[in-house]
Amino acid sequence: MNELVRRSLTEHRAALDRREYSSVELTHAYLNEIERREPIVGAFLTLNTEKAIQAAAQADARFAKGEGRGMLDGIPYALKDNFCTRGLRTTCASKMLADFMPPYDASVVTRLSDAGAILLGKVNMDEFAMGSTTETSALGVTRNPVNPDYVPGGSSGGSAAAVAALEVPFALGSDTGGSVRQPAAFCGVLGMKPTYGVISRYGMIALASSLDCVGLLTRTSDDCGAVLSCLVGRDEKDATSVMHPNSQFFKNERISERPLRVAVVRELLEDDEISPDIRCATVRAIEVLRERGAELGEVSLPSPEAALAAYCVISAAEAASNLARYDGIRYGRTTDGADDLFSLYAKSRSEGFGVEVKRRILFGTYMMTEDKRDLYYDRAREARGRIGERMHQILRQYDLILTPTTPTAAFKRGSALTPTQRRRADLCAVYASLAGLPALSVPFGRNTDGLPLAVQLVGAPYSEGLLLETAKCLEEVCQ
Amino acid sequence: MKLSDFEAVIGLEVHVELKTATKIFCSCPTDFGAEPNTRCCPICMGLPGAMPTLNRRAVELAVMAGLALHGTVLPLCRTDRKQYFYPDLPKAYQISQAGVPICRNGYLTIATPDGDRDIGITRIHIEEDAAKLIHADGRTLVDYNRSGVPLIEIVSEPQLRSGKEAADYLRNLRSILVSCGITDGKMQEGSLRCDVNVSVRPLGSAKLGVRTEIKNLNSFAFTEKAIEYEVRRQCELICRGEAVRMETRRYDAASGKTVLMRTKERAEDYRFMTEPDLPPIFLSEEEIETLGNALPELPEARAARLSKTYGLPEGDARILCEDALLADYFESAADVCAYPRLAANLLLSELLRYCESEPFSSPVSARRLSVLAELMGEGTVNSSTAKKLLLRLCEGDFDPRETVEREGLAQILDTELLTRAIMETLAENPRAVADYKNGKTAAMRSLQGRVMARTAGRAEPVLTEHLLKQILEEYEVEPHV
Amino acid sequence: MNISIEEMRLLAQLSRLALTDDELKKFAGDLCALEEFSSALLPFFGPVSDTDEPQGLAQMREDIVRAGLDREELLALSRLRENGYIAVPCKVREV
Repeated sequence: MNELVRRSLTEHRAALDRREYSSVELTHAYLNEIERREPIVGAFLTLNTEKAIQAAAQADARFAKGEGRGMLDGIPYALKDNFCTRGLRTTCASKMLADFMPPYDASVVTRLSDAGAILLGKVNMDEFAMGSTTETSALGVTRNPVNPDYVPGGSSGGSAAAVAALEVPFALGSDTGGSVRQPAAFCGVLGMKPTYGVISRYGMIALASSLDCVGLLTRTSDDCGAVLSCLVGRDEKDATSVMHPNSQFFKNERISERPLRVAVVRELLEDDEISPDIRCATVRAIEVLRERGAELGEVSLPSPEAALAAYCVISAAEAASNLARYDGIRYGRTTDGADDLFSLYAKSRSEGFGVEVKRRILFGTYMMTEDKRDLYYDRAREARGRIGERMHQILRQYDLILTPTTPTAAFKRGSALTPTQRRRADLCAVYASLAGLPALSVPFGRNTDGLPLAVQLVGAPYSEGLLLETAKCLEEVCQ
Repeated sequence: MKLSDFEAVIGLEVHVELKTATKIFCSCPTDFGAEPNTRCCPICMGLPGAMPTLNRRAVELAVMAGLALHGTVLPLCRTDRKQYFYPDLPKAYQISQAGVPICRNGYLTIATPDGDRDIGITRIHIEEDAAKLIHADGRTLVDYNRSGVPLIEIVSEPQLRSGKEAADYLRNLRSILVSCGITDGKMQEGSLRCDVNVSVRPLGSAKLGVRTEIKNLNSFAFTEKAIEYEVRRQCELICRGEAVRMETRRYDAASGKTVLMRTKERAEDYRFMTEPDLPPIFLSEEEIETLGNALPELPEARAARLSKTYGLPEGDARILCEDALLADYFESAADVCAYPRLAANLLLSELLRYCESEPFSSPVSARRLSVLAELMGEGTVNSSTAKKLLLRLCEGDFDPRETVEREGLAQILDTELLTRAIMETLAENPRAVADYKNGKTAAMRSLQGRVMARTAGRAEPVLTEHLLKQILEEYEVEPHV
Repeated sequence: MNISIEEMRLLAQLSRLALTDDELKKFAGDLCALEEFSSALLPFFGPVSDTDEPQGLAQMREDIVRAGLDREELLALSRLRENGYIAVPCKVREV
């Protein structure tokens, strides 16, 4: 292994700036690492090798002229395969889009390209982002780089694995109900879901529009801040995108005299479903912050059963709606020999979609039928509103809420988790999604099996800087 | 029971294409007639990852339409997804407004034999148009140029009672919307289409009958005929003791009948969902007021003004105001004319048939029309001469006054001249004179006609008639030898 | 609780999914479990409040034409392309 790949993004920036190595060298180093690790890790679905090397050469040319574009210029990265990349296959890990070549770039892709970042390739995910292990991918198998017998998590499993395996210094994923934070936790990297709307979703293939966020995976909080700074901002192509009021993410946003107010959730710490190793890590994290002068308080997370149900119903209903466009007529998989309109649709879709996708479409459609919608869908929206209000209330009293990211560390591949277990595993994650709040999963040690542990920080809207600053404290302890 | 024992209950849902440069949710152009699939982008094609953005101008025009139709514009509304699968719907949902629409509760006035009646408008909402489907052999071609074109849907209360009323409603609606610049109203380009809901019930009954829907009518004539046919069809069914079924039909112009549509390939349950990709629409009072102030004079108000100012009969004023350009033309003429009523008459009864209608233009300038009207009003020429001059003006421009002078076309008002012409005519037509003397009063008309002919149409008709009568009284037929 | 095979067939039709009866039975079980799980929502009745931030006229898109996609690029995505159109292989009436 080329030792270069161990370095962080910010370290690469410094090195590139002082010409210690070139972007081309750096890109080759990562490409070699990808070649070395991929047979086991399997994070990548499509590589962008030639274009990447070209782009790296262009970055070096810029540096030579003193025309560097800033923090991310010449830095390689990976994209979850649900971001549209012009001329580069975008599959959502589905047979439905196995050969889909988008004729346009997602807004974040354009931003990163304008910033000079180097796209190395598209990484694996659960099919159409439905799942939490990346095992529903129809196009490849991804293994946890820390221990290949274990899942990397999902749905952004490829993104987390690529960063953890040192194949790229950063990657983009998508987080709808924990899909960036959970794989980050399982793979031992940092995973951020920003405030809803601060990063444009235009060109990110939708799962659940009111919940989806572009997410970031890095190894350090400084790296995360750098990428975040590049990506935030109102995009006229995304009507739900908002301006972020804080332009610089390393600024200390607290009025520095006042100590950090941290809320802790006692029920979670006492819940059997939380494994002892996770509980330990959470308690330790609380201690670290207390030692740094934080003031602690206890809160309860409002209506956990309803929160999980609301997430489940809303995400399924929106997903069913967003996936209705996949019919093989204008793009994607078209069935052969359908002789009537209904078969054309039904066969194309059934051939293209996997079981989990079908299940969620059926459930989502079911919840929107005339009989069921006021029983469940409308109530889910009402529950979401009230839960969101309560969360905002808590985050006026406290700067952040500290919880586990997941109830357990990564589990073995092919583990048959019961459906209930799978759903309940989202508990810590869904609140930030339902309320549109920024949330950060911070790696925090390993368990006795060597598997990564993590804690989650949830903050008020636009408090990403505060979350990153707090994460830094925890990072320093882990070193 | 017979047809006249029933009352028809008719409501219209009119889809109007808004006059914007770009589509409602993307920046593709809305021009008509382009090569297929050359006005498309990821958004209107429903590509993965694409997201809609609302066209400000479309919202403004929708507000103006609402205000022009006396509606209440709501300060807060939202878009919704209407979900169904069909090849003309790229996303498998249409972004429309199912919940709170942009406008509620307006009305449109139509003229009926029993006087004016206000037809209620329930709601006006914005939505996107679907792609165009073209039949080919064994397959269907899809052109997505139209996908995403901005529409407003105007839903009326079921207060129309006949095909004629529905056609008048549509005419008035089109006239108002075109004059306000909300739509170009080009029927042949599909700028205005309607779906009709029709049911019948026994006269006097308050209960509504089963209704059928006739979809996608794009002309006033077809709408009227389709409704007439459907009303008759339903009445006949009921008279035979059969039930009207709730179905969707279309109008077949060739046969003049409504026809049951094939079973639709779409599900009835639209599973409406608030559109998560578009925020709620907020309109301030000031903004609504500003848009209202930007409305031009509406046809109704203009007709009333023309009627008052120029002394036109209401009916004539209404017809003139159906087309803003026609009304403009009339006003330019009337403004410089001492006899505006005559100008209106000439225009409506003679000139109009020689004019272009889409858009309106006249081969005769407003100035010339006004001069003609004045020549008539002064008594310089009679109506027959005026008509002839008008026709000649359609062929080529000239100064009517000067031509009348030069060609000696002025009316003959001179009693002596007229008497001479009459005497000459009578002398040449002893038979007719004899007939008249023997009681056949119709012979007088033929004699008058000959006097007119003798004077090349210049004899003043009323005076001529009077003189002719007088002379005939005293005339004695010379005995034949 | 139980969702009948008939109901499942209707759902499959509504979702445009071609599924065997065995698949439908399996999914019926899943949907039942999910529906029961969703019963936690029943206490939350009342009008749905729309908490999304509204957008005013000034924030909406200006009515200015921008370049779209080239027809060739667009049609290249589809297997059903034919002479500048997308051809659906059956007769479909405009409604």
